[in-house]
Amino acid sequence: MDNHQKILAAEEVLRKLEVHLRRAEKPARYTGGELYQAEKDPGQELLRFAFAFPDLYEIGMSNLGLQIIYKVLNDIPDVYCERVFAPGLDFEAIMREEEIPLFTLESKTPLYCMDMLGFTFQYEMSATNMVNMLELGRIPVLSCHRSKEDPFVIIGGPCTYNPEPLADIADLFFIGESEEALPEIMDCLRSWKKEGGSREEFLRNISRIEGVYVPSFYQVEYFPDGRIAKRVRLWEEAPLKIVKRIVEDLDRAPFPQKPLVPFIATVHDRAMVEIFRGCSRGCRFCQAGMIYRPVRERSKETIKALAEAQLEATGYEELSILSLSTGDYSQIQPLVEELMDYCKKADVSMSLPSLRLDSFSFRVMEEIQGYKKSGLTFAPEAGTQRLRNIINKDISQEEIESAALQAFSLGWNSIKLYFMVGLPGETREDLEGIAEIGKRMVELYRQVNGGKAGRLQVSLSASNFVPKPHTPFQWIAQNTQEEFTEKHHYIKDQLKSFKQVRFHYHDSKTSYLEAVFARGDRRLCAVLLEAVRLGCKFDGWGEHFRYDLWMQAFENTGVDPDFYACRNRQDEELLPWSFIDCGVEESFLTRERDKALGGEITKDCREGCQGCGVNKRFSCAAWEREGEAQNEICR
Amino acid sequence: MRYAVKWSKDAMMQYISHLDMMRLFQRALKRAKIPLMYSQGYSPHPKMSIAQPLSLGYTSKGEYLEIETAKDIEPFLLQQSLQQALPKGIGIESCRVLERTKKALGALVDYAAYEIRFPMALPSQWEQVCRAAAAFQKAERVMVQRLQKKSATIQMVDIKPLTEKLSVKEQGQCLEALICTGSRKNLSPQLLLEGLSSFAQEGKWPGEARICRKELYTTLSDGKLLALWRLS
Ligand code: SF4
Repeated sequence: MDNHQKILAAEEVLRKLEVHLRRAEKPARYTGGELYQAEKDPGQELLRFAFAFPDLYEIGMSNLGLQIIYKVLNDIPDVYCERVFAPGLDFEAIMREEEIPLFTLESKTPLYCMDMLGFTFQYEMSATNMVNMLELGRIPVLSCHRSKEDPFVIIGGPCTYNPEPLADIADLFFIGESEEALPEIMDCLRSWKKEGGSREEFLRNISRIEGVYVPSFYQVEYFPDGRIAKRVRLWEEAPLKIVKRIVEDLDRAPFPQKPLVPFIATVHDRAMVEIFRGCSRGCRFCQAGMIYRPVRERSKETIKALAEAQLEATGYEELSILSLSTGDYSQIQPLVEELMDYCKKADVSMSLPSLRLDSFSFRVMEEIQGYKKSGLTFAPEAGTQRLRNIINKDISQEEIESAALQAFSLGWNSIKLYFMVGLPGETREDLEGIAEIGKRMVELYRQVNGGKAGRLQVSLSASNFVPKPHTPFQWIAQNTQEEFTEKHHYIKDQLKSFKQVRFHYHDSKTSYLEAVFARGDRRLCAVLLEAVRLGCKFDGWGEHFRYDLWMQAFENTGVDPDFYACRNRQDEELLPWSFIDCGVEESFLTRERDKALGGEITKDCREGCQGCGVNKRFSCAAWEREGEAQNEICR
Repeated sequence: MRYAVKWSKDAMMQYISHLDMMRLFQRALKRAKIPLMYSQGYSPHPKMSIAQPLSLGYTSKGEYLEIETAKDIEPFLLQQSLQQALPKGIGIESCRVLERTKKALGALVDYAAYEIRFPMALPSQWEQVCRAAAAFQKAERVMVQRLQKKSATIQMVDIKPLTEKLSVKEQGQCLEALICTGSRKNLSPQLLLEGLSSFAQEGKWPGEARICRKELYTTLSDGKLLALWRLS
């Protein structure tokens, strides 16, 4: 398809939008044109890339990854990266009725005109939306049906650390952080377009880029009982292992100073600066804590410069600093103090997610206006010390209590605590422990407030444990839905006479499907397509989630979901994601799992390397510091 | 210093709601480094308002933003720096200092001028528009149903006295209307169209209308109308 045809296709979309867009619930989701939108001339020779977020505009536009990739790609002069989101159900109906293909916000070009379409896979339950978006964009859903005219579909994001459930859909996956790899991928695409080779040739070339995984180069064989027997390469030069990519020096990594500023309110409508990547705490249930290793910090000066540049460019009224655990930043005190100084002058408020519960945090929170309204939140994750040791969550009863006491004496009236149920090794006492912590909050509040607790609101929120790939618990069965439900009721019963304490829990059905897809294999593709055919989409939105249709899809395709969610795996089993190398070694994961079951904790590796293995592939600052210290001693 | 800023909203921006426009201007003023005065009291908010909310899906050439800045700025400089800080699709038409006008602009609005186009209409439908407009002019009363938001009841209202002027342009492809707008009496162009269409032959009324607000007016003590941009 030449440029002229693409421009005509876009004009056709535009004409239809002029008539029908006004019928949409929120037309501004589809208009684009926001401040700092990239503008390029589609008449020129461009590589056309659509960054596709498989959820609504308001969700997708809050994603920092989108802003980073948008900048990285559009900084390349001959690359035009545009955006596309999942249309709301109301507008999808209009699009289908009026035969409007799914289009990019910037130039209103149909997706089938792109050279490459890149999905970000952030959440297991967004898979149906990806399939639906491909259909709406008139791109064959299965990679094997795509021809030379069709775009390449690349999928990245945290969920691709187990890419297999989407193996038949993606032409290629990208595993890890893409800032440095995207220009390489674009180079590859550019030369392939010039030379006019086959799709296969492009895929062969691109598979040489570190972090790229081309699923069609492999075949998976199964044992009669359903376990994977082996992975066979269909092209002998395809890599056996796919090693994730990371950016080693965050200070030099590209970061948006002029992010797109949406017109309509989004979930996180504010300036955002990422202060570090990775986490050294080693919570055993946490996938992010494993796959994003090693810890890499952005320098304080760079963070400040980025924050100031963003605020100046956007006029945002709020700044947020992001990381997996804000309080662990090595220079958190001076950073926060200096940022607060700047924000005060600039009349900007600040939000600091995931601070530690120490006295410094309280001082900061006191200073940040409006904090009290939102209430104090923290995540003990489990109800007893024993279980917290098992999951390696480093927070003690005393810490919880002293934080609550401080908060109450500073005038806080509401407190939110996050837990998980269904963790490995969990007993009745652990469930009671969750309720006990809630009750203890009431007691402490009374102590501070002269016996009264009328204004107190305690919220206990329990999610259902979903075992994730690349964690020490990746072999372990998830609780059944019945077990979850029973546990929820058990905790609820404990709290009957405490009207200040509210207990919330997640839907077990959603958690069950998350677990199926988190550890699924290629056979789930068929289920996914069937679910979409039956009408599943926006599964992450409780009101749209159709569990009955999903179960129907499993039945129609003859796939047993329990096989994925509720089954303990042996160490020898070949796991679907075993060829993805995130740097953390499997031996570390088994060791951590065994320690967990013995109730033994593993310290934060800033206090000493725990041998996760990531330093063998990437430079790990914590490990290197330790090495230097040891050299000192030897000398 | 208080200013009246007249601005326009093109087709690209027609779906940005009143609330979103408020936020957009607040951010744009911040980008342009134009400091606003804040109200006193428990929760201070910047002194900034939009004179008369515009419905979603309308374009406009006559919107008004009223601001009070913490420092004095030359109106043309204000216009320039604000324009530079705005996304495409919003134009600053003019900017004037308000000295004599003490009331809030929003409280002064009495009338609005609209241009209503029928881009998809066929010539036979233009004719219907002409006929309906003529019948409307002649009619003593034009009763339409209006949904009372507060009580959620439907009332019959006579929109004839709320319609100051109505004229047909371009053989019926376009209407121009001057209608009551604001907190005292209000008629929406949508309701006006409903009233008009009741005079057309069944099924012949052009469906799609594009509505553009042209100007807002206040009534002077002598009964004459004055466009808001002429206030000082
Ligand atoms: S290599 Fe050692 S210090 Fe580095 S992340 Fe792994 S355990 Fe921590």
